[in-house]
Amino acid sequence: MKSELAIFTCASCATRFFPAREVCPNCGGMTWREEAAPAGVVEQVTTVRHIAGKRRADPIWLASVRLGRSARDPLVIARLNELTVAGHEVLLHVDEGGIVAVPARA
Amino acid sequence: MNQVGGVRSISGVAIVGAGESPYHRHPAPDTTTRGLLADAARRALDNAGLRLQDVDGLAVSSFSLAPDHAIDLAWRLGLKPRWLMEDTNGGASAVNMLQHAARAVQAGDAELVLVLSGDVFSPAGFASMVDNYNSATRDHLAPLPHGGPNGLFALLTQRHMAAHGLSREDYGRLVVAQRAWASGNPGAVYRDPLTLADYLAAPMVADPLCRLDCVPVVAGADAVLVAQPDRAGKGKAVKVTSVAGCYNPDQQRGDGLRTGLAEIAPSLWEAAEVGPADIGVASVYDDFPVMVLVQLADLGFVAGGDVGRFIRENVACRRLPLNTSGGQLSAGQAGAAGGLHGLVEVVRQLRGEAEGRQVQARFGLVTGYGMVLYQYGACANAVVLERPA
Repeated sequence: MKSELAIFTCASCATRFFPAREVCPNCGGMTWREEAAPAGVVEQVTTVRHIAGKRRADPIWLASVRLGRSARDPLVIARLNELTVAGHEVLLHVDEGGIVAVPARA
Repeated sequence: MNQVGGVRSISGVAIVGAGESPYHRHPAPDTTTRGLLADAARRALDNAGLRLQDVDGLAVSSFSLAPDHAIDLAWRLGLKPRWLMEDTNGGASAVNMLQHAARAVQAGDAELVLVLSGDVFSPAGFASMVDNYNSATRDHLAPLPHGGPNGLFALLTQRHMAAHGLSREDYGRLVVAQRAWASGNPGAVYRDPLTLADYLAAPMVADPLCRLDCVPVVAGADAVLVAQPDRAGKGKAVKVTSVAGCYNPDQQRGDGLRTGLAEIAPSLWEAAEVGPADIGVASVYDDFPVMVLVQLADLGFVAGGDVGRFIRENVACRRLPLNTSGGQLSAGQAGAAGGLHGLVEVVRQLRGEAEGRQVQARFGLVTGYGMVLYQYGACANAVVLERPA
């Protein structure tokens, strides 16, 4: 089942986090808004060729994806469904396999 | 008791014995965590010339001891401790347990603390451990699947390469140097000489990390004994001079290229009354080569911030005796014992018991690092030790 990626925004200071926190380290707030994060920018990509506990596994592409243009914006770890490069914009969703990043088309 | 920048100096506390239950890549089927811990304890006590009945404090860290806990282990070892601790901080557990044990001895809550760590995993057990490391990993990384920490540290290593202009060869020089140290350690699981060409030809695990960048999982256990110096034999007490830790320093909002060691370094050195230049042997937590370099930079070893030059002039030529057991990269990672392995090695070096790889050093450094919350490790700590008078 496919769903939006939700990130967590502090209701007091608007700082955004992923994964969820109980207390905002920025202001101490404890009230949160869930917001959709439909896209991000790839920062690094790796091809994982060995999965712990599995003798044979197909390689997967993992990427760190920044949810904004600032280094203070949240960063998520996603599975790429198609190999891309750093700096490329990706569209994000969540399925039973976690966060999926799909390269955006120009 | 003096306090320097949040780090209180330590006096009257020493490591009086150390031991390691031999590491095995493929342990016998009947190997148990409890058995490994008991064996490491016996070896440390033999090393110190003490008996199990002398122990009145116990600290343990292990991923595979469950469902047992520290009190179960005390029972199985026949101990009656008046001070008991269980640590869950992985690669940072050794220094954390040592910090607590040292204060317990200093305060008189215990006279002889046995600090233990070790693990044995089945392949399925190891996979389960990495997938359920914490709730963030279980919920957001394991379903990808991420395959354990290799992928995360591959991403981090790419950041480090870009920040410092490094190549795979630079990390390879560290790996090759540690293998050279391992050749003198009969306890290392990998001792055959390694060349940079071998490193560059090794199978890729998660680029830029190859197999030789990733610690080999082993079964094994380590132990040290913490007490007042007079519990050791003549010339055998390794003095604990300064110990400190820093946890979750950046709320996982950084890039992983700076650990909590950067925050504690000034006060750690000041409390020890030494600096990086005085360190004659160091065990720096080496789950991945990149983290050795990050920690050394945080602690002030990298003059001018030129990491590539530091590798060439200090690590590759083994001018700095770094991870002289071969480190986890060549000696093996026995689960939570990774940090205690480094501590045992520095104690052996400072006591002149590192036959085959002995260096001359007055001061030694041991660091701990670990517990990946989502992107990178959140725990870091360090201890400075001084050789017996």
